[in-house]
Amino acid sequence: MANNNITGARANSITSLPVQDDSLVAPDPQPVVVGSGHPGASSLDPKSKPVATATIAGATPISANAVKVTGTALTAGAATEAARNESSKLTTHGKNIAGVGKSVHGIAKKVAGAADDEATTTDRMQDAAGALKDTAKMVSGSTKLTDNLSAKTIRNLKVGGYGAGAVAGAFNVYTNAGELRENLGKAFDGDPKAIADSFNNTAQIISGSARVVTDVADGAKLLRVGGAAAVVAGKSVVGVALKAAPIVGAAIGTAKATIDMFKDPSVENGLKLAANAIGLIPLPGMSAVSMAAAAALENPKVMAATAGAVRSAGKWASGVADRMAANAATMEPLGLAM
Amino acid sequence: MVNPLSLTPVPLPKVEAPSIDGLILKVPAAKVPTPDDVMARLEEHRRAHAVATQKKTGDAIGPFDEVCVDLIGYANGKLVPGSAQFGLWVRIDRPLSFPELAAALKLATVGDGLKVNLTLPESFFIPALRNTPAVYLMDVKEAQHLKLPKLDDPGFLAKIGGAKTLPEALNKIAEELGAQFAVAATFRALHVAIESVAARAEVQLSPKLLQQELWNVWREVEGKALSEHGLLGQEQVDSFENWKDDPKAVADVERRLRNTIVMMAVAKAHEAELTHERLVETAVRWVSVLGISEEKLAEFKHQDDATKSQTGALLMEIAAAELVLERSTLSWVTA
Repeated sequence: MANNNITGARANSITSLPVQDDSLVAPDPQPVVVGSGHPGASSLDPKSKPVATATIAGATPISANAVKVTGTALTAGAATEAARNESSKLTTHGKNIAGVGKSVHGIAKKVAGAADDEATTTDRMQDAAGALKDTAKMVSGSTKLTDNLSAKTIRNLKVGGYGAGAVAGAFNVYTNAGELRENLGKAFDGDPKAIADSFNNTAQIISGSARVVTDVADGAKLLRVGGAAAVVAGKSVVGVALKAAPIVGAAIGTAKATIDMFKDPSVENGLKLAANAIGLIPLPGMSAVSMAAAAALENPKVMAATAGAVRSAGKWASGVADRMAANAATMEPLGLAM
Repeated sequence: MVNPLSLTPVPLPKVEAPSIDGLILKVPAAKVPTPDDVMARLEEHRRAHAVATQKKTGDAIGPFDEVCVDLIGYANGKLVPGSAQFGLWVRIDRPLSFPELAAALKLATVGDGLKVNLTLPESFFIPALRNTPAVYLMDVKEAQHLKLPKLDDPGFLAKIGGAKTLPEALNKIAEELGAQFAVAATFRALHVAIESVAARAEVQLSPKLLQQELWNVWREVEGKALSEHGLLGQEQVDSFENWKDDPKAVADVERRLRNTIVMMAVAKAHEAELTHERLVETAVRWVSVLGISEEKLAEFKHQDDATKSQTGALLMEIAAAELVLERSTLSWVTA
């Protein structure tokens, strides 16, 4: 997603520009003002009560701009207050105004870190290089991956309507996506009747009709696809679609709360995601839920999840449930705070 | 500052449904998966199926680790919009927008609390804060070392659509991407259709309504997390004020409100065409496209009436958007 898009800007706020490792630059030592708390406290842990805001001369510089405060960890109140105050004193010329020191420890740490990294990196790079070499071999020595895509794949891609004029009607893409799936495998193993039943009550509420839907043939056609195990996960489809859609800004940290929506979306959440992707507000006052979900796509973890992974996302999501539950209790102060 | 939540919800304006006939839409065609796309997705699969080793407190961060951090930043004595990130996972081997944070992370250990001074980049999304010095606080919460599977590992390949060889896996991935891009193109078409018909309508959005919706967005995206981490009062005031000053955020909220209100009006005006059968047909189609599982479908049956009703209203809007698209003359534009 382009970084000039607001979503990209917010969601990618630390993920889009090239790294410039300035750890080699170590400025002169000076006291560093940070908040101090009790040892072991987390800087952003609300349970860690601030002890005091203090000047800590012993904070350890680890790079030109960074200070480690292990053992005198920041606490929400003290640290954030210190950071806020400090930031107000910075000027556009004061990049290093905090005066992180040039320390022997910092340099030693850097050297030690580099040595460790080098060993690990070498190992990993050899692994990666070997893998890529294998890839090159296995694609028959071709320089073009596409040469090795089967004719069937290419044919299907063309069927998918990528060429100009290939799709005349609004729903042909769906149909063609279905045709693709027919060749890919079964993307959705649902019983059309079950789907219809699920929505029957909803439809009744909308239309006031008491009729039972018995014929969903048109929809069912799209589902009657055969083949082997699914490659196309609906979650991935939604993910790509959402990435392609213009979305308002959101923060990754909050957005991860919606990972479950991607892993196994409920009917209502799935439709919210879809509505968001096509430029609607799912429901007035509920827009942010899906916007945050969209931003989550920027996160490598979520991308992994949308590609079919559950390993890391599952663990991640489990913590999210607790957080969301906690949110219920914090909503009131949030409102009162304003 | 007025808390929009303390007010009675602002009613939506009444809008006359515009004509949905005669629209001529040009929509970017679906992207054809490139070798780079395929290789990138292959890498995602590898990471997804990697063996992860959880690092312990005090362990150094490695060059290929994934690291979970809490983050918050201040500039000019105020919270930097979007800077409050909690439980944010980053890949050390990927570039970061803020090189100072990347440099600090590379030298950190699990459990560290860091204070990082940096300058917000020239590309920062709030123009007023570009090239502004800032102070960021960062906690390194956890880290994982990933051992990626070999590309010729049969167990790994089997997880990519049951592939037996790498070329076969690459084909599967290309197919997967092709289907996704096709659906994405359809989403774009619907989006263009909605925007086009909304442009035909007269919609007056009051400042109160806009602020209320902006508040809703901010609350979900940033406000809740701030509250959760004990950042109340002035922190939140600053945060929301920054959102209000962000023209892109305001414009997006306005656009979505307009689109939604118009599509609600279109749905109402075309109620006779949006029959029970058609809505179910739409639902079936989208359930398939969205990959909603049978278990979730079963759960939906037991949802309360309010949820069903809200979902139904949403379905109605989507069905109305499809109706607009059906009536339009659509051409796919290739780059």
